[in-house]
Order: sequence, then C-alpha cells, then structure tokens
Amino acid sequence: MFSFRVALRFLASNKLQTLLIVLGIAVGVSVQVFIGSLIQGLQNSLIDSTIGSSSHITVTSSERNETVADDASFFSTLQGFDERIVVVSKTVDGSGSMTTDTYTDPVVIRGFEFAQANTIYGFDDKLIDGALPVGAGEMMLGKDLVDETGLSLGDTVSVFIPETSETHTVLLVGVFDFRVTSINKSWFVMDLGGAKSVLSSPGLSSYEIQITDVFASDALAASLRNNIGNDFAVTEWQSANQELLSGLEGQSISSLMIQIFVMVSVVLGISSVLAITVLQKSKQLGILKAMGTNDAQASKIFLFEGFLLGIFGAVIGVLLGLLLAVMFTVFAVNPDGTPVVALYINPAFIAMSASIAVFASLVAAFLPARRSAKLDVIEVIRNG
Amino acid sequence: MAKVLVLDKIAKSYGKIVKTQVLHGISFDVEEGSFTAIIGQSGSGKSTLMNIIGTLDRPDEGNVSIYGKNTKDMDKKALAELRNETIGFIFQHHYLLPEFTALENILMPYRIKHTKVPQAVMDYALELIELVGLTHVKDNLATEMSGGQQQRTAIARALMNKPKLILADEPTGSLDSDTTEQVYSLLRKINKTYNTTFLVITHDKVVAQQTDRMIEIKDGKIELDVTLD
Ligand SMILES: Nc1ncnc2c1ncn2[C@@H]1O[C@H](COP(=O)(O)OP(=O)(O)OP(=O)(O)O)[C@@H](O)[C@H]1O
Ligand SMILES: [Mg+2]
Repeated sequence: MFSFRVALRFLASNKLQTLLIVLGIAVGVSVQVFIGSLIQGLQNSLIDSTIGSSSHITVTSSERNETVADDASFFSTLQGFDERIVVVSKTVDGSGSMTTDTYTDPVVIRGFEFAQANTIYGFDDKLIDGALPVGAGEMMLGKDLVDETGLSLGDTVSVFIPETSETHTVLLVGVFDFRVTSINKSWFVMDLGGAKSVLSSPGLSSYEIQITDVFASDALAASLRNNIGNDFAVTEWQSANQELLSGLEGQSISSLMIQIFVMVSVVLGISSVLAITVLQKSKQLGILKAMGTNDAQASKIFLFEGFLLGIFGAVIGVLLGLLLAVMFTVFAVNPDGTPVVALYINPAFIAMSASIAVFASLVAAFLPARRSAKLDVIEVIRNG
Repeated sequence: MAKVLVLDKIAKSYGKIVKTQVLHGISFDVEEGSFTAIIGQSGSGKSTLMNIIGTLDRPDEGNVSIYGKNTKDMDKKALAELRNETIGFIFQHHYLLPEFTALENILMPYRIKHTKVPQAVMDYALELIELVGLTHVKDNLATEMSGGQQQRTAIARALMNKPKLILADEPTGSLDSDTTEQVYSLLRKINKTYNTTFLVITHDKVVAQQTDRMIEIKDGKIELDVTLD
C-alpha cells in the first residue's frame, strides 16, 4: 500500500521525532496500565477482605432469633436455584462461655458442614495445627484464643450454654488462623451435628450461600426473596456494605478521570506534532500530488503515521506499565515481604488500554490528515 | 496527427486586491510526438502556463483539453489520475523526495497506483536509471546526490509511467553545457523511441533551435510560434 510505505519511510527518516512521540504515547499507556492494575488490585483486596471469608447471601428465619428447619429438599432447592450459586452451606450458631483451668471466655459456637463450608471459609487453608473437629466431643479454636489461654491440642474445655444451662466437655483438636482478630478470639468451631447437639438445636441458624459474581448478590437475593416465601429472610453482603461500595465507586471514577486526562494529553501531543510534520513534509506532499497522488492517499499517509505511532506506543507502553507494576510489587512490600497492594493484571483491561491508545492516535492524526489532503500542489511548486 | 493538447484562450492573473494579469488569452495546439520549446524572459509567465497545462493550477478563463478531455469538468481525483497516467513532470527545482533513494524516487509514480512492482517494471526503472547514467548512485538518498544527478533522477522519474506528455520546466537549469547537451539528446531519444510529446521550457536559444517548434512568450502573450525543421 502506497500511503503506508510513505508513512513508514517518513517515520523512519525522522527517527528522533518518531521516538519522542512513541515515548509520549508509551508513557501515557504505561500510566494507564499501572494505575488501572493498582486500583483494580486495591479494590479486589478490599472486596476480598470484606467478603472473601464470609457468606455472600444468607437465608435465615424471618423471625428474630428463630431457627429454620434443616430441610434436605429446601437445601437442594437453594442449590439449584441459580447457576451462579457455587455452594450452599448449613450453619448453626449460638453463644456460650468457655471455661479452662484459669480463664472464662465468651465464645461464638459455630457449626458447619465442612464439605460445603470450606468453599466459603477455606478451613483447610486456615487450619494451622491439628485437624477439623468431628461430632459433639471435638472443636477447634482460633490462634489468638489458644495463645491467650495457653491451651494446646488434646486439652479439654468446658462450655456453658446459657440458653439451656447445660455444660459440655469438649476436646480441642485443631487451631485455625483467619488473620482477623475478632474471629480468632471468639469462634468455637464444631461440625454441624456436634454444634446442634451442644446447643440442643434441631434447626439451623442459616443457609449461607456463595456465588460466582459477587456483585450479582443483590439481584439474586431479590429473586430468592420472591421465590422462597415469607418464612425466610434473605440478606446479602452489598446492602450491608454500602459505604465500602460507594468508596470503591469513587475510586473507580477517579481512576477513570486520570485515564481520560492522560489520553487527552496524548492525543493533543500527537496531533500537534503530526500537524508540524505535515508542514515539514509539504514539499514532499506537493510533489507526490503533482505525480498523481490523490487527496485520499495523501491524508492516509498521516492516518497511517498516527496508527503506527499508536501501535508502537501502545506496545512499549504496555511493557513499561507491566515493568512498573512488577517493580512496585517487588519494592513496595510489607515487613513480611508480601506486596503492599497485590496488583491485578487484567489482560482484557490492558488490551483495552492499548486499543484506546491506538484509536486515540488515529483520532489525533485526523486533523493533520485533513491538512495533508487540503494542501494545494501549486502553492508548493511555486514556492519551491 | 492527434492533438495531445489544446489550449483555448488561457488567462490567469495573480493577487486578490491588485490584480496582475500574467497570462492574456493564450491559445495553441500540440500534436502527438512533437517536441516543443517554450522560451521567454524571466517573469514572462512560462512556469505559470506550464502549471496550468499540467493541471496543477486552474486558469481564470479558457480551457485546457488533454487528449480531447476538457480538464475544466474534472474533479481533483480525476485530475490526479490523469497526471499519474498521462503526464510526466520535470520541475524547475528538481523536487525529489529526500526520504527515498534515487531508484525509489524513480519508481514512485508507479507505486502511487500499484502495490507490487513486477520484475518487468523494476527492469524498466533500472533501464531508465542507466539511461540517465546514475546506476552507480541508484541507492543513494536524494540528499546524497549532486544537483545535476538529482535533476537527471527527476527526468527518469518523469518517464516512469511512460506518459504521453512530458512537461519540463528548465530541466537543465543547473547543469553544465556538456551535461545539458547529453540530457537534451536523451529527451530527444525518448521522444523518438516512445513517440512521447515534449513541452520544454528553456532559456537556451541554442537548445530551442534544435526542437520541432519554438513558442516565445512575452508579457503573457504568444510573441512567436515557429515550426523548425
Ligand atoms: N503566487 C504568485 N503571486 C503573485 N504573482 C505571481 C505568483 N506567481 C508568479 N507570479 C508572477 O507571475 C509572473 C510570471 O511568473 P512565472 O513564474 O510564470 O515566470 P517564468 O516565466 O517562469 O519566469 P522564470 O523564467 O524566471 O522561471 C511573474 O511576474 C511573477 O512575479
Ligand atoms: Mg519559471
């Protein structure tokens, strides 16, 4: 293609200028890639710490402090309700106070079916010592509570249940670490059957649900409400975390603003440099037109220049942005060596940034291309 | 013989506020295969006329017909195509593209229309570069050649698309008399071999006298129009 060849040669014969524009675009793109990955990483870790180890949608009784029936058919109704539902997990909760030789601590007794609850809470990963409890005689405690009380695996504790005024003796078989002090200090975790028998509760406190798309929780909860009847209450994480969500949205908007301004300055930069290039090359354009290059071809030369600059700038920019990201995760670290923010490298986002840069470069080339098309041969030939 | 060019009362003036008329109703025909010299004093309007004939500029009044087609009715795109296929230009100032080599400059008129350069076309380009005696510098950038070499490159380029009509504005302006002699015998040879029509502006009366026809322009009018033998 004629215009493409000429564009390529014009760029190649003015290496310094070409390099400067490419670098300009590349810096813009790298800032986009880096900031985008940083903000997305930040948001992901915020969302993860908020709901990573908790239920997305919780089904309880509509009556306060009442239990719901442990109903196998209701359980499978929930499981099959929507394909976005990953897991449904039954829980029994109650309060008690745990007594050892020296201390008495209030605890939250929580019973799970670990096969399902693992998907939500990741007990397998969080178990740092011993094993998961089985039956009414076994339980596990959080790291902080174990440290404070000085208990070790194989010790027994007494747990008093105020509701029934009963006291049970239970063996400590495991220690977990949620990295959240309030959980590590208060949870007294048993399997579902064990908790039911200790709490003397035939029913369940809740059905906890985890879903694939966390932001679909409100819609899914609404349709659950419409389908399972008035005996149940459905809560979901988003309505309980409005503040976090509006914070995230504010962050997204400011990141978008940064990206838009970066792109606008890139467009203005390319456009002005290309406009100067048209002037620099007006003699060449004149002679090309005299030889029969038509206006469309003449304008395409500069569109191709913009396109090529955009492609090179985008590629270098993406590499630069990723390099920045890597350096950030290597140098900006916590005392324990984990990155301050785990960046989220999203290929779709990066591809989008790159295509926006290419598109913006094309747009920037539009005015220079028009000037090139409008350039009058005779002006050039006469003034040569 | 067929008429390559028919000029009918061409008039042109410059300036928006104070109009200076440069051409006053110039009319003449040019026949296919002829070699015509246009002479005249500096500032008499030769280049202005040449640019109008080459469709680079439009006359204020009058018509230019090339091979029977009135250029007045053609749009810019059609004119570009006409120039590419029918007319070869050799400008007063040589006008090569400095980003390209001599050979690439010569191939440029072909590349405007065609993506690929077949071997036969490449051979023709090499033949042209041989013809103007520049084979040894064919891969030099335009900026790496002497003025005379650039001028000869421009001549070869004008021939590339085998145009029916070649318009040359002092093609030997910056050449010494020996080279001038060579270039004219070259143009003459092309004229005879391919039956290409030539319209050449020159200051040089000796050169003009060796052509088929001599037109002298004075103050924007035809002063003299003689057929030579
Ligand atoms: N753009 C312009 N604006 C105003 N006057 C112009 C313009 N171009 C040319 N002229 C005038 O038109 C007249 C003819 O100019 P032209 O270039 O055709 O002369 P020429 O015969 O080619 O001269 P030379 O032999 O020096 O090349 C001159 O008087 C010149 O000053
Ligand atoms: Mg002139």
